[in-house]
Amino acid sequence: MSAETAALTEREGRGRRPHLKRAWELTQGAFDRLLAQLDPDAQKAGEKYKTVHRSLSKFFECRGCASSDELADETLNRVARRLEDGETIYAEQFAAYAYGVARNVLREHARGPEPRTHTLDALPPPSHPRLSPFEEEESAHARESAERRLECLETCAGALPAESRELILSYYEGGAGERIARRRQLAERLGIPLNNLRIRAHRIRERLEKCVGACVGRG
Amino acid sequence: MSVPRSKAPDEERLAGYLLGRLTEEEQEGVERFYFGGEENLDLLAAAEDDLIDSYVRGELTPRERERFEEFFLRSPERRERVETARALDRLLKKTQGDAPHPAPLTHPRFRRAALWLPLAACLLITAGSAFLVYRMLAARRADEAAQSRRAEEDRAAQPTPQQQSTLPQQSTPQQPDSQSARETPLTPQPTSPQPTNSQPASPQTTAPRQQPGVASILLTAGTSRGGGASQTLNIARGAERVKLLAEVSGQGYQSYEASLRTAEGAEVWRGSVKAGGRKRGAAVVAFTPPARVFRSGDYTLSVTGLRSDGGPDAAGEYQFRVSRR
Repeated sequence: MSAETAALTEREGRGRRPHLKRAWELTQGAFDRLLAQLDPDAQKAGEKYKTVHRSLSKFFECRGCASSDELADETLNRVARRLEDGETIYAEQFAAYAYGVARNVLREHARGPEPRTHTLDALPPPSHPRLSPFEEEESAHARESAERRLECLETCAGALPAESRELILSYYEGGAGERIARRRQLAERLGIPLNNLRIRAHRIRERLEKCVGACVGRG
Repeated sequence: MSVPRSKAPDEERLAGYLLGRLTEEEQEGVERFYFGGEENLDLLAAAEDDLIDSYVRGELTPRERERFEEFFLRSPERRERVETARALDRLLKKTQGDAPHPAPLTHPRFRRAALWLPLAACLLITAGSAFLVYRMLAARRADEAAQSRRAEEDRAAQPTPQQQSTLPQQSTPQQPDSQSARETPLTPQPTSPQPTNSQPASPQTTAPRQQPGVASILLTAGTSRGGGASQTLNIARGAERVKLLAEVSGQGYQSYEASLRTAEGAEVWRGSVKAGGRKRGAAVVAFTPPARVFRSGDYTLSVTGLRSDGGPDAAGEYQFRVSRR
């Protein structure tokens, strides 16, 4: 499955925010035109789409929205619509344009009902009831779940190439004080700038998290 | 495809952004930065990793902690990441033997100890290794003697063809991964003799073995397409199973089928697993062929996702190299 088809399939699997007005629905043709605007090469276009979507999703998440993926979808829908209406968006300005649209979506969303419709699961831990009649059972379940996650992490870390495994273990090792110096040394040893090391470590960790998520889900 | 480049914010600024503590103008500055490209976004994500780790390790100030719990943990995905960070923290402690790093040795007696302690440790390790090798060799000799005794006994009591067809298939190795529903090794492997029906397994051979070795590799989509085998799977001597963790694309499949081929295109193994639960994005599916189907060389694993109507979709193709030791 190509990157662009995967991106569309992922979108279709998500729900919709009911309070955002939609007189226009994204069609396959409009989606294809949006991708073509990003890059003439379909594979590269799919990758760029995913990066913009990720940035948008992070934007909504950091602005305190629980439904960040759906809002990112909605933002890109609106961009696609403007393209359909004949607006010109240059590839190099696409992310900036999407960011501008996202700010409008955020304003509209802030007027919506979401803050009053959190599910219990969406609430941060301190908002859960303090006394639970099933407390013991819950903590036993939490312990089991933590053990399962650790097992999965060990399996996933074991499946990493040795070089990546060593890098991630060295990168995250140590307390707050020594970590900075340790990372500088590690970057020097690898002959790369510190920011590149950060990115490299994050990408390995992201892979691990995906693997652990899939493993725990199967459990 | 970029927003006008802005200077990378420092880690404190990024942490402030993630905790929702910046002014609107400052937030906009950070957002323009990470909308500037994938690497910028990854730097923000790396700062998020560090923030989560600081929370898990109790390194945040009470105010930061409060803000983290009230603002940052609103998202269920982030709460799951905190759980994984806790596991990572435990794994790191486990890896380091859960011991704090030793303080610098400053006293003259300690400095002398710093010289002879590593030497003593080396001697201890060498002696221990020699003892282990001796024990392994002794166990192997005993095993070989027992096998040859059994072979002689079996020759003496050879079953009739009718008896052979009813004997249980005790030689199939236990499937270490409960996901695997069925699998078919396609080529006989003379290098690793297995008990056959004509040579029924004695209680000694069917008893649980110590811990079957499992070699594993994570095969990610896109890393090997068109570029030849870029990942290497090292299979140590004695490994019985190989765990191929394939990051597959697509969703909603009932099950996955895998076909393993050599570089020459010969299929050496075929297997299937039921689809497990998944979060958004790619799923990882584990196939566990026996180690004996592998020789050193290049392999291609083709994974097919089976829809609920039974129709197949290509879910991934991965090339990797096998090195047997």
